[in-house]
Amino acid sequence: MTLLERTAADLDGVPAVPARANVVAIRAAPWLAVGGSLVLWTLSLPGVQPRAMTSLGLVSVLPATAFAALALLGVSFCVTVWRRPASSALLASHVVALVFMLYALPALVEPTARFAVTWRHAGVIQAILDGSYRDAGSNPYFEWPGFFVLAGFAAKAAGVGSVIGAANWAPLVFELLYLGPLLLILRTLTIDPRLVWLAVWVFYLGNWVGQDYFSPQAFAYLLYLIVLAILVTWMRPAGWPGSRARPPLRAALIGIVLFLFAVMVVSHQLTPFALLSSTAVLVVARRCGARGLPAAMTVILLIWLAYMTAGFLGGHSTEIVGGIGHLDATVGTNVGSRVRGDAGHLFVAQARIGMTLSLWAVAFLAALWLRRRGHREPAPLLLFLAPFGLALVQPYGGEILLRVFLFALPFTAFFIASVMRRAPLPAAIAVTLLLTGGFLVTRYGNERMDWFTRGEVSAVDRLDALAPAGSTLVAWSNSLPWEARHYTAHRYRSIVSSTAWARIGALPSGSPRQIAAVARYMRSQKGGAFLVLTRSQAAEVEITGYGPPGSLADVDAGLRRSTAFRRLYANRDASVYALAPRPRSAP
Amino acid sequence: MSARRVPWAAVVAAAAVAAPALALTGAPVAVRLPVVLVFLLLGPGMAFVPLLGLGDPVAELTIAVGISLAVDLAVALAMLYAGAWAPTTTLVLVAAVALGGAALQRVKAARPA
Repeated sequence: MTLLERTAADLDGVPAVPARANVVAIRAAPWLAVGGSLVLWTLSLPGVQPRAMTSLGLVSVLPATAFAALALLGVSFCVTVWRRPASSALLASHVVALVFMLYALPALVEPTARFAVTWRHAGVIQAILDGSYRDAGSNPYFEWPGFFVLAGFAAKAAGVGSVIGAANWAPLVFELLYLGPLLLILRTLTIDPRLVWLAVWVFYLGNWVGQDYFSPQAFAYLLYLIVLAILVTWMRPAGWPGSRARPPLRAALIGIVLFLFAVMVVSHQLTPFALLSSTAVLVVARRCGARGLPAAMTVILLIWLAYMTAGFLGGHSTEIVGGIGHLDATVGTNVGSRVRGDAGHLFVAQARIGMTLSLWAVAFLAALWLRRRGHREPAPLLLFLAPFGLALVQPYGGEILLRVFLFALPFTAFFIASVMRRAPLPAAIAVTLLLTGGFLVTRYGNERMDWFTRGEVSAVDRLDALAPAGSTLVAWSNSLPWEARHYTAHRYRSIVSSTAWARIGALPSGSPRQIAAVARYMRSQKGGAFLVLTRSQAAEVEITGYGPPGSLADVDAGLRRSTAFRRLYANRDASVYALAPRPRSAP
Repeated sequence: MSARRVPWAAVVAAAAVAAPALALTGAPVAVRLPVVLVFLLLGPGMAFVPLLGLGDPVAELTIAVGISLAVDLAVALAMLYAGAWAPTTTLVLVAAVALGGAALQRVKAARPA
């Protein structure tokens, strides 16, 4: 037991020498709890039926034993932190088990890669590596290609044809990779190792925003955490308490920071700005001694923006700078537009808002409380607040508040853990169980429309085979597994995102008038149009309020009846249609 | 076990030879995939990070992951923009960078303190 652990244990009043007969049981119990919870969890999952999901998402189909497994792990972790002079290995085993249970869940219960965007990312990789992107025009994916090039390179070098098969494991891998930099950051904020692990625990229970899927954001966030870890650990200014790196090491680490930042700049639009603002805040507050870093980062950022992304930025300047200072619009697109849909989805949306605001509020109050108690380390509060500035500048397609939450989360978790650490054990257990339930609802609340069946994938495969290059592929809504092949060969459109939706959506579902309006919309597309309807789109329509339950089935039935369309393919979960040739008018 | 006690130069050198060899010989995916992915995740980074003398396994592995992914990406992007995209050649170049770092570790270790 280290001195720090002994000190922390003494603070809790743990008996210095427990009765000998109890020693084995005390030492074995938490390990058994970790193993038991993993076994219980794994045994619970084969019976999960994703098709039975309601609008509450995955939580609606998890069996009671799965909740029992999570509760067992949570109680064991809290007891271990509170009552035992625990080893890091034991605490780490709890955390790794939690990460596996929470973040590998879709990979274990769903048959194919989840999220429409994941499939698109696979298509972007293919387009970049086969060179077809050069003719694709302005597209942000091709102007910030770093992650896609890396993923494509790794997959091809490893002999794997497509990333789709492994994409559902990406959250587990990314979250485990986040553990290292999280530990480094948190170890600079407290000398209590159990507070460090508790903060890590809260981080994983609180990371509901789902930005760890197979995406540039997940990769850039890893680099963000690593750079912050380097800055707060080794870049203390002269005179600051704690060890300070010697000059050669500092120089090498500054080089590494700039290298990682450059890689981040070529991979993601937003994260470099988050890191730049956090670094600048640390420098201005004299918590980072590398004072030239913000300027160097700015130069790297401007070089890439000026030389490599000018085409995209020039074509989207209004959208990019138009949001500056419009906080009301940002809140509207980030919050207001999401709180709609059926009762289950409304509950999920409100839970997300409630969880986010509650965590922020508790963290902020805890920060003030810690400061009053003499905690003088400024880094966690600075790094908690720095990302909020991004919300003043950009709505980021309605996602900026999710990203702000993500960038601030390590420090949100630290402050919340600081409060929990001083609470009695039952209160800590209650918070853990509450966060666990909240995580399952908020994180996987859209799962009914985010997961895909093999039938849906087969239908999209068929669509890919039927549609000639240059044609337009149309879906009713946005949730379907397409764009993974021939990403640049087609135009992809969804009716609910089009300007025609105002008229089409106002007509009775599946009525001849609505089908005629859909036909007109498709005739207006270039290169011939194909329409694909899937189970996941039907779920999206119902969940998010684009139509009443069963409305897409009515559309499907209307299309089958219509002489304007011909059905090219159908299975249990999907249909593919093309426009029928127009009858020639009589001479 | 301290990360410093792991003979990283030798481990990295072995992985830097094995990963391209498996790719070039078309080894079965079950063998090739874990070796190549672990090498790409840690190899280039652990070729250089021990030179920093951080003395903390968590810090060394964390920074090594960052450097490894950055080197992989930089080499692959350079190949793509140079119009010379080829995954196996890119892997060989990354392995060469890692071997260079491993050699530096050996040189440093052989130098009298």
